[in-house]
Amino acid sequence: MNIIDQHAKKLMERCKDRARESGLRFSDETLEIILKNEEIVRLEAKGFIPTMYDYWVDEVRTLQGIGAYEIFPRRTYGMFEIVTNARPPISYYNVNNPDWLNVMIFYHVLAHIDFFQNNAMFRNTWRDDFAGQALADKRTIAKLRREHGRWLEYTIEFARAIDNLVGFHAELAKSMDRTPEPLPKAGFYFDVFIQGKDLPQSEFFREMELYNRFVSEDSEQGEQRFFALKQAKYPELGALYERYRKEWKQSPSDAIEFIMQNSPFLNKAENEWMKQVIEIVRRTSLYFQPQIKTKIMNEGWASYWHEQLFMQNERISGHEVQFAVNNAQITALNRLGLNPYAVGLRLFQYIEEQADQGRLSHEFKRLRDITARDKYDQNTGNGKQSVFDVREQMDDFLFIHLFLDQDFVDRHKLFVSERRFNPIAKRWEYYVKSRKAEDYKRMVTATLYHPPSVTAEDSNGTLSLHHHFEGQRLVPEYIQSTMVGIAHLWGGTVTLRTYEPTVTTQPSVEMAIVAGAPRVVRVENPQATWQAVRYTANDKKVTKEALTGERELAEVAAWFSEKR
Amino acid sequence: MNYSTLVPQTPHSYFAASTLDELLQRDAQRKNDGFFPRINVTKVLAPGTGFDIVLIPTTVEEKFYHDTRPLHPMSGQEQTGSGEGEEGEMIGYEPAEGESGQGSGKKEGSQAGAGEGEHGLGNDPYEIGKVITKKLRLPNLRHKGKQFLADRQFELTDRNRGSGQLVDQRRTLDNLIRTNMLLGIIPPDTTDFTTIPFDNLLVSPNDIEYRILSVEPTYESRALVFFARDYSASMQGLPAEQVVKQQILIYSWLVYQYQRKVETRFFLHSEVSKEVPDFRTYFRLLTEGGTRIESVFSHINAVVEAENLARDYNIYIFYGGDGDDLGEAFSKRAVEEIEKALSYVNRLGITIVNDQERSFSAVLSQSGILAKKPNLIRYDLISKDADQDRLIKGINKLVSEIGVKK
Repeated sequence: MNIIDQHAKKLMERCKDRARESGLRFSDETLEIILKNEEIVRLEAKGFIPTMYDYWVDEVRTLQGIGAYEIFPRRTYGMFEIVTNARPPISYYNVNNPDWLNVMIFYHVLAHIDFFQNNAMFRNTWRDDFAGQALADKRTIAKLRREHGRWLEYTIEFARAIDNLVGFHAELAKSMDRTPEPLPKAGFYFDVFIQGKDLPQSEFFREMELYNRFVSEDSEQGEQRFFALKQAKYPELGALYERYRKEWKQSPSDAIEFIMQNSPFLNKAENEWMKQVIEIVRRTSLYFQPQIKTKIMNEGWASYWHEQLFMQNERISGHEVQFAVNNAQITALNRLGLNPYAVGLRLFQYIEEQADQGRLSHEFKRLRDITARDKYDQNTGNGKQSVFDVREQMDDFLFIHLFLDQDFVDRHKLFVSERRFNPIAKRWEYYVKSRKAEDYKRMVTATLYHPPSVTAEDSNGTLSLHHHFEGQRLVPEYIQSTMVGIAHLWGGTVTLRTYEPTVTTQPSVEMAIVAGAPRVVRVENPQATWQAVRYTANDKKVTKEALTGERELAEVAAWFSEKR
Repeated sequence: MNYSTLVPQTPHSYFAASTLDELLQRDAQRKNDGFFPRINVTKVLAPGTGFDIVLIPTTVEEKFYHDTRPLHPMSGQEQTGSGEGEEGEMIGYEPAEGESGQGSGKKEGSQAGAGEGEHGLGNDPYEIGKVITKKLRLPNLRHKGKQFLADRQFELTDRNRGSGQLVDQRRTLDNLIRTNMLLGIIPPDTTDFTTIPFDNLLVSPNDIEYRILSVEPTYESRALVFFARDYSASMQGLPAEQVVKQQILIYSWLVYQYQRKVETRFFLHSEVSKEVPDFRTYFRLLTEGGTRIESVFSHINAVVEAENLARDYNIYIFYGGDGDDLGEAFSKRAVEEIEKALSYVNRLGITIVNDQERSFSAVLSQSGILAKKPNLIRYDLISKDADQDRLIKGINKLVSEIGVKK
């Protein structure tokens, strides 16, 4: 583990100047470190945060990595770089590269840093240096380990068993809401009270219109007069609002916070230390969330800039071919599989081009005439500004959802492929399933990080968890031990409501010979019916029962109808 | 902030240095606390560095994850791609592995066997052959026998001065320096080559050496292996399994020796012999009835003659059975057929799976051909419950060459 030499550092500083001239924004200080292969394996297990707290799973991963390295020694890869979102940002390299390659990599790294420091998903990581925070956490964990021995390890383990349920978006919303307080009366009326009345939508809008009219006619007394009217219709309104204000507290962002606030076991004086541990695990998970949610954008952004800046740099002369090879190794589209560098880069370039031609406008979207669409070019010059806006405001889901269209899919010859078993030839066959943008988007979206949505409530001392139906089951093998862990933290019975499929029809494929080659002509996916089930964990034992209530069936039906 | 705390001076001091033993000890403690153990240890054979086993611990952090496995094992799995191909067009395939029917296979003939693949042989026989040749010290073939013209290629292997297709820079530089030393332009006692006056060198066209195209014929050896076994009722169970297991290893070894240029034919016999189309059938079929070993060897001889195979291939025959035969007279006729086969084979191996010598073995050893032609025919007797090591030793016995150290 060494800091790069002065010569390379000088190159880095020059790269910073040029990157800034092109509009990238990042902090002045950066730290560049060269790692040996073994150090990479060790740091990988710790998410490349050297100050991360110690935990046995990371040690197993380290041994696993070292073992794997013994069997398949990895090639020392010239383009290796990892950037951590700390203050200052730390970037890791594998070897001391030739200057021209270093310049190319430095541009890539600087774009990553720009992304970390400007993308809104990272807002909650801007205030602190996570490496420093992790060091404090590591010391806390070490102290608690001395005091509580292996029960500390269990606490970390059970907290990590639910650390993917962190309410990332709820935290983000809280951080933007500067003074958290209960809703004003109008907010309460429309967001809470009237929602419980089950009014038709037209009625709801009429109420809104009425309120707006009162307020616009008389900005001082209008609201009072509106509520006087409503009070007559709903006599309970005033009392309910008073109770709401009195009982209001900031709601927990996720199931972990809920357990910390409400677990009778964790809130005993002798177990308070566990809450410290859970908070550390939760904080660590929250820190990594934005990185997981912006993988395609972040890599695309870095590739977009290293390509653009390096092509303008005088150091490319004489290394054009090597640059082309290196660049292609990173950003070529795979024949099969998703390369986030490749898709991200092309999508940023596409957005820039579309914005330059004014094609992101409503007017263009409404245009149906093919010739007119082909020729459409408003020459707006907005391209650069648009890609900067996109990098500031979006995550992978929005990025893919808003900008990936049929023109993009056609231009880069993208498709969704499927693997099918051919029982006659006894082999798995890959075929082109669809070249429609809709299907491609659905496929990419399906590969994005999307943890299950699980909410928690306390029903008479039992922690009841609810896994909201999204057409997917939980990994059944992991449910038992996860529940045992949660029951330990709760100190009592825990139930989980979730959904499990039963396959009712088998999959089938029909093939035909078309123009001398075998073609897949029809595919039937297996059909399944979904059954609500309840797992109950009590004293390290987990049982399962089927639920047949109407509420459960309604949730499945609602999801499917919304999907359609 | 202070970076000395962030980047420690001694490497790795920020890692708790647990050994695998310590981790496993702690994992064992979990049971006493009422939780499941969490660490699995896998043993992996490290390639290329001798017979090294690497221990790799793995663990899974169990959480509520969405299950991304398909609903049905046979249902399709989607992924993204790019490039040419119309909708519905196949763009690639991979062989299925671990298909049902292998393994215990009790329903289908009570025989365990290998997996799938080419002729139903699992994994890549070439890789298996490579591993068993190297790790288990099977001999390499010294003589691969007949070679056949496989291809003619034009390659830039010949050299010519003055004209040609591609300048051979190293040799040209050699020649230039030699000529210029002779001319005195470069002092003959030059040791520091940076002092050579490259700008003033005399370049004679004759010193420029080129590579030129030439026809290069390539030859290769091809092998054809006849696998034959007794499939009568007495072979049911372990004996058949042993024969097939050993023959798979032999096949892998040959595939490696002949660089994949190996073809196979499969023969089964009871009182009569028949050829079966693939390995799958070969190791699964069972029949009632007696045994006449002669039948299969005369069948193979007939096939080799009719198809003129001896001209085009290096031929190997490997036979496995339990040594039972219809009678001594028939065994003698079997030995006669074997002697005929010896006129064209590179090697004929006979494996008898039994706990004692049976009638056929006795006739075979009396005939004296084992002693007369040890480079063409080999014989091995293994017991029904022989382990893998014994099977490998058996292969060594069957395939080794005289004068070649194991």
